[in-house]
Amino acid sequence: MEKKYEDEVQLLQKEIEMLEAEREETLRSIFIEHGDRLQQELKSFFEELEGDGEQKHALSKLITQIRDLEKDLRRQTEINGITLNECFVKTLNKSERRQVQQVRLAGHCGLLLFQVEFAVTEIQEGKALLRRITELNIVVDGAEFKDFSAFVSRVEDTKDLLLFFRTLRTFSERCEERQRTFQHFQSCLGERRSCNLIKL
Amino acid sequence: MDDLTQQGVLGHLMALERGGLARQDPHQSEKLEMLIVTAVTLRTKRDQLKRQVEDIKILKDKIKSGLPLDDDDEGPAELQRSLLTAWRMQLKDLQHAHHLIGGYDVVECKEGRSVCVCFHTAFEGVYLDTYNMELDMTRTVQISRHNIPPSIPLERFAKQNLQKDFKAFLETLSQNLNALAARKQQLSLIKELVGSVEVMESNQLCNTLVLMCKAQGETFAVVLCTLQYRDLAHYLPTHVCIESEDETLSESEQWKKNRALFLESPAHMALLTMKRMGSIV
Repeated sequence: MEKKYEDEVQLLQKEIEMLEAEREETLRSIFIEHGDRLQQELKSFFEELEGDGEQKHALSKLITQIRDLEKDLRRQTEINGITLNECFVKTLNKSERRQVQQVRLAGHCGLLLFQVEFAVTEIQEGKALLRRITELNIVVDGAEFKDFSAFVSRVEDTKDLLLFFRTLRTFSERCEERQRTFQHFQSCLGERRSCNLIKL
Repeated sequence: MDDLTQQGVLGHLMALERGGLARQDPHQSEKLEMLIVTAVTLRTKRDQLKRQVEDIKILKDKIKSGLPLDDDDEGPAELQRSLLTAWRMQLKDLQHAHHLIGGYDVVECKEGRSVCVCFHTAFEGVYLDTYNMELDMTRTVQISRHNIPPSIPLERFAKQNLQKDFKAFLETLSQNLNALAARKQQLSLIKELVGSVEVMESNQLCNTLVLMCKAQGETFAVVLCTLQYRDLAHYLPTHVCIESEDETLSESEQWKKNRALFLESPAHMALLTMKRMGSIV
C-alpha cells in the first residue's frame, strides 16, 4: 500500500520538475522571439496600470523587479564594455548537484560584432561550486579580425571564454584608437592641402 | 489433531498475529496518511502546472500570429503576469550571461555611495577564484574593502588609474588576477598530471617556477628548468633557463626545442608534450 503511494509521489515529483522546466523554456522562448514587441506593449500597459489601483498592487512587485533589472543591466553593459543583444540560455540537464547549461550570445564590443555559443557545467561539491566551460564556438565578423582569427581558434580549443572577452575589449579599444588616429591624420592632411591652395 | 483442525488453528493464529501487528505499529498508518496527503497535494500542483503550460502555449501562438494582447478571455491579469514573468526571466538570463563571461558584477551599495565589484578568474575554461572589492564613490574614488592577494601591486594600479580611468583600473587588475590564477592553475596541473616532474620552487606570485625533470636516456640525467614570469600580466614565462649535470644535454637541439615549448605553451602542456615526445620521463 505504502509502496504504491511512494511510487506515485516520486513520479509526480518528476512530472512537476519536467512541467516547470517546460514552462520556463516556453516563457523564455516567447521573449527571445518577440521580446522587442512585447516590451513596447508592456510599457504602455505599465502606464495603464497607474490608474487601476488593484491591478497595480498585484503586478507592481514584478514591474519593480523588471525596472531594477533593466537598470542593473545598463550598469553591467557600461562597465563591462560588452553589449549583449541576444541571449539564449537552455538548461540541458539538472540534478541535485550538477547542472549543464547551453548559452548562446550575440552582441558587440565597441564596433566589433561577435556571436558566442558555449556549454557550461556546474557541480556543487560541498560548499564549493565548480564551474567549467565544456564547449566553445566563436564567430566574429569584420575586416579588423584578420590578426584576431588565430587567437580565436586557440581560445576555442582551450575553451578560455573569459580570455576571449578580455582580449576583445583590449582589441576593440585599439581599433578605436587606430580609427581616431587615422581620422586625425586625415583631417590634418585636409587642412594642409587647403592651406597650400590658398598660398598659391 | 487432524489437518483441517490444524489449518483452522494456524489460520486463527495468523489472524491474531496480523491484528497484533496493526495495533503494535500506529507509525505505519501515520506514515501512510502523510504519503496520501503528499500525493494529493502534488497531484493538484501537477494539474495546475499542466494548465499553466497549456495557457502559455496558447499565448505564444497568439503572439506569433500577431493578435493584439488585450482582448483575452482568460483575464488580462494572468496574461500580463505570464508576459512580465517571461520578461523578468530574460533579464535575469542576460545578467547571468554577463556574469559568466567574466563581467564585474557591479552592484551599488549604501544608496549609491559605494560600489562593489567582483573579479572573476578562469584558465582554459575552468573558473577559479573570485575576488571582491568595495569602492567608496562619495568624493574621490577610494578602495574601502577588498580581498586582493597582497602579492598584487594594488596600490600602484590605484595610483595609476583609479581616479582618471576607472575602467582601465579594473582591466589592469583583472588581467593581473587572471594571470596569477592561470600560473597557479598550471602549477596545480603539473602536480596533478605530470607526477614524474618535481616542483622544486615556486612562490606566492607564482612568477618563478623551478622544475626538476629526468631526461629520457641511459643515465636519466637530472634537468632543472627555471621559468621566470617577469610580466605579471601574462601567464607564459618571459625567461626560461635549462640546466643539467650533463652539459651536452642542455645545449642539444632537443632541449632547445623544449625551451621554446616552455615559452610558447602553458607549463603543464609543455611538460606533457615533452613526455609524449620521449624527451623526459
